[in-house]
Amino acid sequence: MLTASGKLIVRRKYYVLSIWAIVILAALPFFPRAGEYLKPGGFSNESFPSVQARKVLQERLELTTLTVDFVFGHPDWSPFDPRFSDAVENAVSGLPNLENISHVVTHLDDPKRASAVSNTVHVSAGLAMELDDSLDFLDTVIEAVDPGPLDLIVTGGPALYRDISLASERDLRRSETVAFPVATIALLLVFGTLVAAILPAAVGGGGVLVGVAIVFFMSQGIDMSVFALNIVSLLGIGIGIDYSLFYTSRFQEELRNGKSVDDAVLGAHVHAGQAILFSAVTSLIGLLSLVFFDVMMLRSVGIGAVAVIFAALIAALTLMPAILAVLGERVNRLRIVPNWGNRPSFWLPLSNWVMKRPWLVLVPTSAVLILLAVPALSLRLGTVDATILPDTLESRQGFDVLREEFGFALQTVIPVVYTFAEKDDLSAAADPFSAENIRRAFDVGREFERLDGVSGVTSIVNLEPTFGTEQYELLYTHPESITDVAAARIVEESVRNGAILFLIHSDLHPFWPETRQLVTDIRALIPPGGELHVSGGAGEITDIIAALYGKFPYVIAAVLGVTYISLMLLFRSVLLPLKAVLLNALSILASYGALVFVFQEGNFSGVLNFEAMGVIEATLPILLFAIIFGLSMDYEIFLLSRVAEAYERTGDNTIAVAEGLQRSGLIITGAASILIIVALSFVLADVVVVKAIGLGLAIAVFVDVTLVRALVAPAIMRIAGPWNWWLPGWLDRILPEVKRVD
Amino acid sequence: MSINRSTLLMILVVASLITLTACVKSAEPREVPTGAVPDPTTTPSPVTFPDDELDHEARLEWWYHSGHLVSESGREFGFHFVLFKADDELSEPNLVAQLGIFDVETGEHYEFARAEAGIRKSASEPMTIGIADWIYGLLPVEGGHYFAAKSGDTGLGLDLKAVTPVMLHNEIGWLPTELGSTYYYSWPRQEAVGELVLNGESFKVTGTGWFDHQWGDFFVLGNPAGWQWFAVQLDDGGSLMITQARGIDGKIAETYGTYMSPDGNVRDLREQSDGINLGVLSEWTSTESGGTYPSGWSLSIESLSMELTINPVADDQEVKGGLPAASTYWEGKSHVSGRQNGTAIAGDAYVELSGYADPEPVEWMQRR
Repeated sequence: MLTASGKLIVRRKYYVLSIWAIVILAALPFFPRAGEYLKPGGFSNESFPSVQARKVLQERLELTTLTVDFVFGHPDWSPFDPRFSDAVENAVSGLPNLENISHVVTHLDDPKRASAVSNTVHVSAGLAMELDDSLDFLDTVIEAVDPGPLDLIVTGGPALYRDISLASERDLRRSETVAFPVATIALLLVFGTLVAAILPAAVGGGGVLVGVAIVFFMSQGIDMSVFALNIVSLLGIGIGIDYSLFYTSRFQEELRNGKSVDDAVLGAHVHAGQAILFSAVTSLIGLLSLVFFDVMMLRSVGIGAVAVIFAALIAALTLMPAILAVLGERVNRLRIVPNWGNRPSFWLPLSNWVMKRPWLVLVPTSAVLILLAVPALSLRLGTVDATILPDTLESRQGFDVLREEFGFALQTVIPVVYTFAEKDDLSAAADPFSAENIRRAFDVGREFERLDGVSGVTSIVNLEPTFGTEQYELLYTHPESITDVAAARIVEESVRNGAILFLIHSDLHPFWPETRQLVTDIRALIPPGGELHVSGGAGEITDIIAALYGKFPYVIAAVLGVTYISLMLLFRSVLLPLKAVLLNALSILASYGALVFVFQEGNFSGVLNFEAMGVIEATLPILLFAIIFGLSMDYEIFLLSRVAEAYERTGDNTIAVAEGLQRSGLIITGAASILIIVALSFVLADVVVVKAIGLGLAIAVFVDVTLVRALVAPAIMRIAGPWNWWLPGWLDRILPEVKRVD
Repeated sequence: MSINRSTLLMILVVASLITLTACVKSAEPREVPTGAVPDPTTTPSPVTFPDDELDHEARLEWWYHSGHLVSESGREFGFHFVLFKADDELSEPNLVAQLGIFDVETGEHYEFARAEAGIRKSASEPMTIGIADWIYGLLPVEGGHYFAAKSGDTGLGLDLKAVTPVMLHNEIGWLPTELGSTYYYSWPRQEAVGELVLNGESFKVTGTGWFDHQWGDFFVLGNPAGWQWFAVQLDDGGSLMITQARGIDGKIAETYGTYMSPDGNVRDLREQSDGINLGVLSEWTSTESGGTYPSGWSLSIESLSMELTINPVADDQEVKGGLPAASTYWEGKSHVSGRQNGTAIAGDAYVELSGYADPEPVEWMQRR
């Protein structure tokens, strides 16, 4: 098939170029509009129990956990100075008139909202809407607040969320700006000539352009996250350049071997094309796995990546041969860097050295890899808070004030609604202050207090540990007569017909695994005559991680399994695919280990300028798995395809492995170097999660091309000898033939 | 090579698939056990000084001062200053301070309030609490306190020093209630010296104060529950505290008190054993809160051979600021006259009436 398509493209090269010119021109207007229909966030899901519980909280108790938070300050006036209080009241007076504002709480309603250490006040406006919808509404809220003589900082969920989106996008855009020039310089070092160097960047860029335009059209019909766009375009650049690099280098090699331009294109198309096709298939398998997650952000990365990789593949297999057929020998024009091909190769002595002492290479290198992966055993999944943002952003500054002066976000509060009757039920059975319901709620409240990790419970029946149901019945004989400030507020806010709210306090950080255990323990409780609905950030992250990691093992199994079979088809071997997937897994685990060592434990936090969270953001391991698996499989296939080619020719495993390493070494190292440099540019990002993606990717690729591809893989293949190429007869018979036909 | 070996290899592939270990263990569903019991109550510990003058880990605590002042020119004033601390132990305690000033000459009653979260303490002093721009603290003498509270062009700053021994109520300074228990002691006579500013006019003042300190894990309910409380300072040097508490059904639950004789002896008083009779002579209705308060009392205590009449110097001494509506109360300077053991006696009193104003209905319950 490749031979036929190669011949056709060579024959109709100008048609192909014309079609591509039309496609690129058509795609061009949509490239800058790619983000138009993308949605912010996309980590949550309507089906999550926590999202359902949040609705119960809103519908039954008229409470919302989503707030815009205002930090008002004045250099001289203390919070309860009438001038300060009046200014705050004036500032927020317009808010209650806005639709979707459920409540406004100032320090005059709750004195705890006045700082004890500075002239600062915390005011919250509750939003009766979903977080994703609140981002557009945020400006309306901000415009409605006139601080007058006071200083004002705006923070809270929507502001932080918006800044995280904007800062991430800015970081990623900045990296993209760096990526192309850096990649071109790296390509120049690999190829030596300007024309050859520009080609992969141009063809890779063309693929990304078309891929992103496809994303634009897809996002109009499918919910896609704004986070996806940048990851997808970066991935497109990396993979697109890989494919074009491999293709161009093979073309040059064919020319050096004395072939005509058309035959060289055909040779590159058949040999490099097949490797590219299979590596694209494995990358697609890895990234398609993301489509199976119930989290829009990952799903859209998966869908977008498929579009971009598909475009990169088509560009590499159609545009590239057409351009090369037109350029011919001119691909080697404009030499800027000396021709590496004329110098003694580093890869030949290395491969010979490995071939002579495979065990000596394998054992210590594997030990190093395992050592790198060891920290991954202590991986703690979680999610991140505003500390991932740079402190130059207003929302982060406000968050810091709230954290330092009001203890915001340092402790966990889990809202749990106990429902035992319908909202409009006015019978005694729905009366939360009836003796029966007080008794039931008391049992529930006391049980909450006994759970591991609970530091306290706030509810109508958890006011005083020495109080039993008799005291509570007495207390609620006339609920309006309660003078205790906290208890009066609880009666007003956390109880309604048929529903009682419990706020479960914990000293654990909201996003720690121990907190998720607490959420799980609460959910396991069956209350008398009703239901518990667990809401809040801790509930939501518990659901997100359950949605992600409930499926992750199956996704890994499916990805590795399908990859194994694909590689078995390509290489007609049982052992080589096994080695490939295991080594890939080792590269990924090493990157996980590095993530834990750096971002979870906080090592190098000073150098890298971030605040350790004690957890790894939950989507990171999955994203890295999907990206790294595809990329490192590219390298593996490039290597193995050259080894297999040499083995077919020579029938000598040792020679084949040495030659394969030697012939693919420069290309793989070049491709990997480009990706490492691009990924490392992420480390300069402001947002910690973007830093982590960059460092994880860079380390994984570095480990992959140095330890794995250059040392471990050849050593294993040398030790395995003829077993590398073993395929049981029955399997050989049933496997379809996919090897190239020259 | 057999099929078995190749099958084995395939199995190895599957076995080598890496699965992330689950960080959270699943929990088996279980029913909430019924019949939960509260924590046992602890036995009270002795009240000690100066430690118990300071703030405590307690759901509710208050430091309460009231008294009678006179300026250098002989102009009379009444005052009350109270600092409430409410602490649900899950976050910083809520502080609310109230200042009431009664100008006898004009009959004007002034009230102000401040609120704050958390206790700001000075490291160099036994206890200094800031409530916004007000300050309250202990003087380095037993039974000594000070406060400075000003709002705009009106305020009061006093140093108060005890001139009698301490008065522990209910003998040990601890009282059980229907909804928890409270420690309770008083310095029934404090010498007061300071400065009062009224609408910008400054007065050097002296006088006599009464101090109450209560703390504990207890709840106070408003109307129909509440109390009448009397802090009587007799001209012969005797001091008397009488409380009549109503339960949540609005009925009188108990009447009790403590008497300190001029020589400092403290005597616990009970309604039945000491023959305490408290009668209301008239009533006053607040136009602001709508609450109808007793206004004028007859008080007789058989065991002390005492018969007193207590009359407020003005009807409108209601206090509303800074607390929930259910906490609106009346705190008023009053005059005392009567007889003890057949001899005419007189004095001053501060009277507190709680649970008379109608609380605001809970909004969602009203909708119901």
